[in-house]
Order: sequence, then structure tokens, then C-alpha cells
Amino acid sequence: MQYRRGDLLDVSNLRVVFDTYAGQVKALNGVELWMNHGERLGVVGETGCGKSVTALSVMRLIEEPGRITEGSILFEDKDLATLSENILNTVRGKDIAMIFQEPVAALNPVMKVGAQIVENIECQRKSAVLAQGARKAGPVTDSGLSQKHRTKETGSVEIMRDMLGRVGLDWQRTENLYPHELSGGMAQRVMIAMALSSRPKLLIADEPTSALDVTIQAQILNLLNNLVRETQTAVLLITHAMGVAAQFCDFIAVMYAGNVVEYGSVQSIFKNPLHPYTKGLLRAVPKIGRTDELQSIPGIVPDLISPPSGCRFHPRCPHRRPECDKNQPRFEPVREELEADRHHVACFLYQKDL
Amino acid sequence: MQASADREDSDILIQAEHLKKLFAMKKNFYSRPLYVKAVDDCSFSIRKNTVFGIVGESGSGKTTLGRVILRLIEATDGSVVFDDTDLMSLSNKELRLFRRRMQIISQDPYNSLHPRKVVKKLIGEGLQIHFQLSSQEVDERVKNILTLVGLREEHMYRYPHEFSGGQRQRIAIARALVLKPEFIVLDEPTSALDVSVQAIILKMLKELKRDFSLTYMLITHDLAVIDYMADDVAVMYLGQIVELGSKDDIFLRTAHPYASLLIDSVPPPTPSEHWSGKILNGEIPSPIHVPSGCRFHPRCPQVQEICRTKEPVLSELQPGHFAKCHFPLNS
Repeated sequence: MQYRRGDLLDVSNLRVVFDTYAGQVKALNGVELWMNHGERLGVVGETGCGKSVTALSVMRLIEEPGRITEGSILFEDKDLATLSENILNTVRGKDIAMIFQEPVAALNPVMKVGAQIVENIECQRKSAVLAQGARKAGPVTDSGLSQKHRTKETGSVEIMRDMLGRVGLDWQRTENLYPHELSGGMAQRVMIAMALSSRPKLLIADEPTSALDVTIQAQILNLLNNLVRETQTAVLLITHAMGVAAQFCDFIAVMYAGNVVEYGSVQSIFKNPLHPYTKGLLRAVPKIGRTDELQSIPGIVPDLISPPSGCRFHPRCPHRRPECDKNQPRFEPVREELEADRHHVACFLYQKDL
Repeated sequence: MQASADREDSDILIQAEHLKKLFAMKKNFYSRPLYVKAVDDCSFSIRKNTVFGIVGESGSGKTTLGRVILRLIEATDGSVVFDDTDLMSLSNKELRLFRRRMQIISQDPYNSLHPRKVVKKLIGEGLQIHFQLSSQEVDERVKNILTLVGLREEHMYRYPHEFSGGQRQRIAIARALVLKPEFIVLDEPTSALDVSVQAIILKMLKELKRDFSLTYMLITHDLAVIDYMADDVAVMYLGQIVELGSKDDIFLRTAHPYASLLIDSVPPPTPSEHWSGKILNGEIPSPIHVPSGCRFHPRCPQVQEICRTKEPVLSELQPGHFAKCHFPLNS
């Protein structure tokens, strides 16, 4: 096994395909990213670049017709890509929690908010017991649980109320509401309460603020910032908003057509972008007070059923070289920079032996 | 209103006075209706060949305002004068002929194009209605307009589902432009698009405005887009314009606390720039039961006693710069 890059999460050479009638969609084409405990990694890119598929793969929530064909997803000491479903369920929700873009759609519409959070907490406790059992004596079945863990006596309701308070909601008013009675901002707060109730080590946030107004977005980001700093939770933030990534994250992974084309600290990506796609993307972002013209990237995002050969960006790249359509560029560290920046890029322009 | 300062009236393309739109809501057949005050007493003017930006949170009434201006929704009260013509007094027939001069491009390019019509039909239909052209002439004009918006001739016989989001928005732009309008309402024209596509569309809209001396009313929630496109800006909150002025008035000499907090809410897209982290608390209240006094008072950090009881008027701070606040900032 190769050396370990991040002590919390290390995704390497991850390939995911979707078998459709139109052909095989090669959604992820060797994704590389990693993070340490307590770090915040932003995955940015445009629609269809594989951000969400990456997030779902880490939880192994890719469903038919999709499947992981290659690669490893090391989470602490486990490889989530090959772990059995039983053991995986002790990780999902417990060690890795997830929040989504459409919070109202992610909640159960016929269950009161408080009850949903309590259910989640109890479920986590159950799987924690299962996990302990698994460590001691191999697989255990549901009947191996003692009665104590099935009842609500152990304070799940108190935890739920505490969590609602921490996300800025009044539990007396909120716990008996149904999801349709919540505004988008409140629903996202409930989702955060639910996700963080199990004190996960990693929170995956898939476009958590994209459906919200800017003022509510600022509230939610501020809240998330405070909560995860308090608990030292690592965050994998999927977003298309460069501003959100720039302000919230420590590290950035830029994705294009199923590849991480550039990875590094926020400072290195924004101050010294190397990949032509990253450069183009940053020049296309409008900004208050910006006076120069916006630049766009010519061409369109490729069809992933028959992606371009070699570097998938080559048909749109202004710095194309002869080798670009032949081989896929390796994902390599940028030598001139500090190791702490972890700046990596997949582009022939920076390949060492050329 | 902006004309009051130094600009001549002949510069004005659209003059809206005291526009109001109330939507009646009934709990049941017998109950007395409650009114959603979607647009409540909005007055402004749009100068020729400029971009008038309207910005606000969802539920602030910006889309309704855009539709009321075009009489796509009938206003409850108020008037819109379009280049000396009072739109509200036009009969249906007159209005239909007038529609050629004012067009709309809406947010969602996936729903705004008829799925079972080919591009030629989508774009050419308006031409046939307004200009009674022969089939060859329609063909010719559709071809021309397609090249102008960056599509090709062969796209004429394709259906909307065969195009990407950016291409569809180009078709919507072509459809509006082909009638040679003077005024276009852009209702969140790029909200459904990726940033790199957004950059292309915004640039194109700017160039088209210059080449065809168009006037835009740009409705968006994205302040960066407003800053890039607009000349004059109106900030809306709960159906009312709370601040109105030139782009620089709004961004550099912000007067209304709401506008200021709205601008501070946008995370700057570079890590080196510090995000002020000022947070606007609470959420936009229901437009049915609007707060007393200043509508922003429950969320305002500078709230005083008078704000709770007395509604401020939209008053002129500097020539052309208006704010609806008892205690405007920077004054």
C-alpha cells in the first residue's frame, strides 16, 4: 500500500462509472484528495464535474447503476471502498455525517423534526454498540442489543434539545414542527443539528447553502464555522461558489470532468493557480468592486460517456501541447512551493520530466 | 425621480410611479381575503441605454415588479410610462402590438422554452406575429440572430432538450432580440448557469446592449452580477425599494442598513480579503403581516424607537441617491 497522505481521509485513484443505456458514464476518473483531522477541504468545480459523486462515494452511497471500479477511500484505518456493508453502517452517520443542498427534501416530511433527530441519535448509539460487538466477537445481530439501548431513557431527547439550541433554534418551538413548516434556513439548521449530534469526525456538506439567500448563507456558514471549530470536526465542503470555498476552507480541490486537476491550500490555489482550468475559473467569477472584464472558458464541459482522450481539459485548453491528448497527466506535487501548501497539479505544463 | 436632479426627461425610457401589486389570499370561500403585499408603492425611472439593477432576497418582490412593469401581471395601482406611452391605459390589442418593444428573459432556460418547438419556430413565432414576414425572411432573420448570440445555423431545427443550459439561455436571448426591442427585463438571467457560462452570457448581454442601444432591467439576487452590469440600482425589501441610486451610491456610499448588511453577506471570492462576518439576523418576514413602522426594524441593528412606529419615506440624501431610513448610514 502506498504511503498515507492524510490521517483522516485519503482518497486515491478513485474511479466511478455509471452504466446507462446510452453507454458507460465515466464520472470519476482517478480522484485524488486527502485531509487530516479537523481540516476543511473545499471541492469546487462546475456542474457535472463529479463533486457530488465524490462526496457520495466517500459515504459509499453510490447506487445502481453506479459503481466504484477502482481506487481506495482510506478513512482512518478502514478502506471504505471495500468495507462490508455491516461495518460501513457503523461509520455512516456516526463518524461521517452528511448535509445536503435541499434540506427540506432531505428531511422526512411526515415526522416531526425533534423525533427525526432523536431517531438519528438512537440509531447511532445502536450502531456504536454493534461496532463494539464487532470488534470483540465478530458480527453481531440486532438481537445482541440489550434492552437498555433500545429505549429513550438514555437522554436522546436531551441531546436533541441541546443540539437544536446550538444551531440557534428554540427547541420548545421547533421540535414539534414538521419539515414543511420550516424555512430553508431553519431546515438547514435542523440538518446540521442532526448531522453533528453524533459528533462525527468528518462532516460532508454538499452545497449546504446553494439554495439559500446570501444573508441566510452567511448565517449558516457562520454557524457551521463556530460549531466545527468547537468540536474539531473536519469538513468536506462541496460547492460551486468560489467565495464560500475561499472564506470557509483551509484546502481546495478543483475538479474538472471527473478529475481533481489541482489541490492545495486556499492561499496557493487562489494566489498562484497553476492549472489552466483553475485560472479560467477564477477569472470568470464576478466580484463586487471588480473593474476588469470577466473572462470565460471557451467550449463546453465534455460528455463523460466518451470523454476526451488524455487530459480531459485539452479541447478547451489555451496552452495545449502535443502530448495533452495522448496521456493523462500525472497528479504531482508542485516542487517550488512549501510542503505545507500541499500544492498538487495534474497538467503537462508542470510535469517534471518534460 | 432620478430625473429630478440634473438629467433631462428625454433620457427616461420608463417612469414607474407608485406601483402596487397585492395578491388576495383566502383561507376559504367565506373568509375575508388577506393581502400579500408583493410590491408596495415603488417609484423609479430607468434611463435609456442603461442597466437598472434590482436586488433583494427571495420574497422581496423583485420578480413581481419586473412583471408588473411589462403588464404581464396587472398592477393593483400605479402607473408605468414607457417612452410617453402610459402602459396602463393601453387596450389588450394595443398592448399586444406594444409588446414587441419590451421583452423578458427569464431565469430558468429549462422551462421558458417550449419543449416541442424547434428553435426556428421558437424564435420565428414572434416575427410572424409582429412583422408578417414571408417564410424566407423569417429564416433569414433567425439565422442572423443565431449567429449573433453565438449559435450556428444548423441549430435551427433542433429542440430545446438538445441544448445545454447556456445554449438555451442564448436561444431565449435570441428570441427576445429578434423583435428589435428597446427594453428587456432580465429576470435572474444567469442564476441557473455555472460561473464560466455566466461570464459568457453576461459579456454577451453587455455587448448586445451597446450594439443595439438596449435598456435593461436586471433582476438578480447576486450583488456581484449587479456590480458588473448595472448603472443604477434599487435594493428591495419586503415589496418596497429601500435604497435607490447609482451603482457607486449603493456600493460605496451605502445608506440603508439593509443594503449594507446584504453587501457584507457576500463572501469575497479570495481568501486574502477578510470577510467582515457581519451577520444579518433573522429571516424576511411574511409579506402578509408586514412589520409596523419601518419594515426592516425587527432585523435592523440600528433600530430606534421611532423605527417601530413611523414608516420612513424614501428621501433624497444626495442628488439621485435615495434611502428609506430614519437614520441613514454615512450621513
